[in-house]
Amino acid sequence: MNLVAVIIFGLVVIFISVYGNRLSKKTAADYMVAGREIGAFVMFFYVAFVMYSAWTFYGYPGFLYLHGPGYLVFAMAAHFCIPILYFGLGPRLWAIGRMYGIISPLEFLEKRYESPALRVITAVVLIMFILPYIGTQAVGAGAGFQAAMGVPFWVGAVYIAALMVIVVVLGGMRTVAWVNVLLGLIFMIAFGGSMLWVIAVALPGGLAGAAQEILARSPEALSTPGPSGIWNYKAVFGLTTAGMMIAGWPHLVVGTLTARSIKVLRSFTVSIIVLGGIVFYSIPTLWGTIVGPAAIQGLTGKQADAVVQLVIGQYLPSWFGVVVLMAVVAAAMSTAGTQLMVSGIFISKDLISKAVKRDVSDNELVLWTRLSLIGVVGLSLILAFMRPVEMGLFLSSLSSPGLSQWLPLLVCALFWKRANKYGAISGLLGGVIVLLIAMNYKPITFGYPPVVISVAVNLFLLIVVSLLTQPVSAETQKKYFEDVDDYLISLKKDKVTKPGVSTTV
Amino acid sequence: MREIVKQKEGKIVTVILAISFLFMWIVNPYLGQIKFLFLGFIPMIWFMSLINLVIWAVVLRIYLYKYWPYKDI
Repeated sequence: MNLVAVIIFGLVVIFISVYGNRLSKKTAADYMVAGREIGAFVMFFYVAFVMYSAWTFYGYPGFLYLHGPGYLVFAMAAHFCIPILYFGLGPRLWAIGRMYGIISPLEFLEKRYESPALRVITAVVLIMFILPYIGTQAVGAGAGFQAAMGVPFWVGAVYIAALMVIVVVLGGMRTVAWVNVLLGLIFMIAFGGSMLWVIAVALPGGLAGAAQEILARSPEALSTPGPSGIWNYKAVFGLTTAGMMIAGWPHLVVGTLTARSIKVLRSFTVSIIVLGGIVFYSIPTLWGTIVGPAAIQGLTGKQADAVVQLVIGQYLPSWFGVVVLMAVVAAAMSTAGTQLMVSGIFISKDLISKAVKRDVSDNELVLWTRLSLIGVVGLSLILAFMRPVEMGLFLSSLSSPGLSQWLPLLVCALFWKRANKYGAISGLLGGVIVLLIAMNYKPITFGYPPVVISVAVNLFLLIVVSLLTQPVSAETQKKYFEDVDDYLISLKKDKVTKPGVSTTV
Repeated sequence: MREIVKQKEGKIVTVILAISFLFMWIVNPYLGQIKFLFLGFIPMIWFMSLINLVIWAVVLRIYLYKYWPYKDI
């Protein structure tokens, strides 16, 4: 039954990809940013389920199970800063994308900072840190297949990798967004439904009764510093900071370029807080803090990554395993598809077309993107097989701190005219170097997670070096500040004076 | 963001969000140590995060749909 479901699932996803391919206009903008036509409904599922990955199913509840509720601030903090990205930075990024035909945010950085070198350096940094994250999805799928079907770990990892390649190669960003709607619905229903079912059959005292049982066994389990004592003030403060930096994940930033209008960004802002942070994220949080610890005790280390699946396997009928497997595959694919797409864009448009060949046609660009993402899948699979740490740490300690390093220069590019390439490059490189040192030599972090000290150094260097060196030309400043303001005002006036006029330009 | 702080309503929203943000960032890590479970199962650190998310949702729903300069674009 599991095998049949896996095959049917794969065929449905491939069908959507083929359909998306047939509708595609075969241009780079259509392939890479969905023709800038994503509406509010699709935008929610597309961006939300880029965030809610296999990590949400395995790593997050697993780490909560092991170390208590302190870890949840990482996810909660993210739900404060994604809205800031979409209503704060989003309108200007959206406008710049349309005004200058920008597909990759790194292309914007190059033009705004007048530095092709910055674009290449940023692309290398982002690709380096996004690989472990894509690897996390393969780890999740591998673990899911192993638990549900008894097959070796690599079968699930390769299945998900192959499916991702088909979706992204065939359809591009639009198909990835559509597939995310389907995958998001499957993930929500299976993840939430299974939790309610387990509460009904395994926790007779309900959630409150389960919480009392947990406290009777371990009085520190439901507060900080937690049962293992790791969540002291500095650790929670640092983890909150790391969660806030999620706004810098490149695959989330690219979402602002795909919106049909600014109204879409506005709808997404409110819906990601309510439906995402408050409603959906209650599911994995409850799994990790209450349901998992009450239902199964004694899991340690990487075993805890599978706590949700183990509980479901123990308390729910065996046929339900297939639903769980679909949820895991959906969670992994919804994130990895977009990450792959963005990685492919960075490699083809920001590295190859800049470093190897400068004038490329749309067809060449799309081809290079497709070839690049196949390479990215291969590298991420290698990382998945190595699996050096618990899944929770794959994201919060490896990928996220690295992907945060371009956030200061992105924010300054949009809002601070004085920021220049010298500041941006020294900040980025300084931040990455400090991060790599801090990951291996903890004393320089003063007890905070490496992301805090590295982003602080990054921002400090960006500001100080920019102030000490020449600003970008007046022409560039006008192009990315006054002209963007004028463009947005013109759209606003157009809308006020001519109701019903399309804002698509 | 520049457009938000240029208008009165935007300034009020910015102050509310900033206070909530700082609370979440600086005060919440302390509150997590309190052994209190809202409704008998929601740990304090999660409860305070949810309260702040609700504040953000309400404030942004009102501001972005009524006062935001880009609300019609």
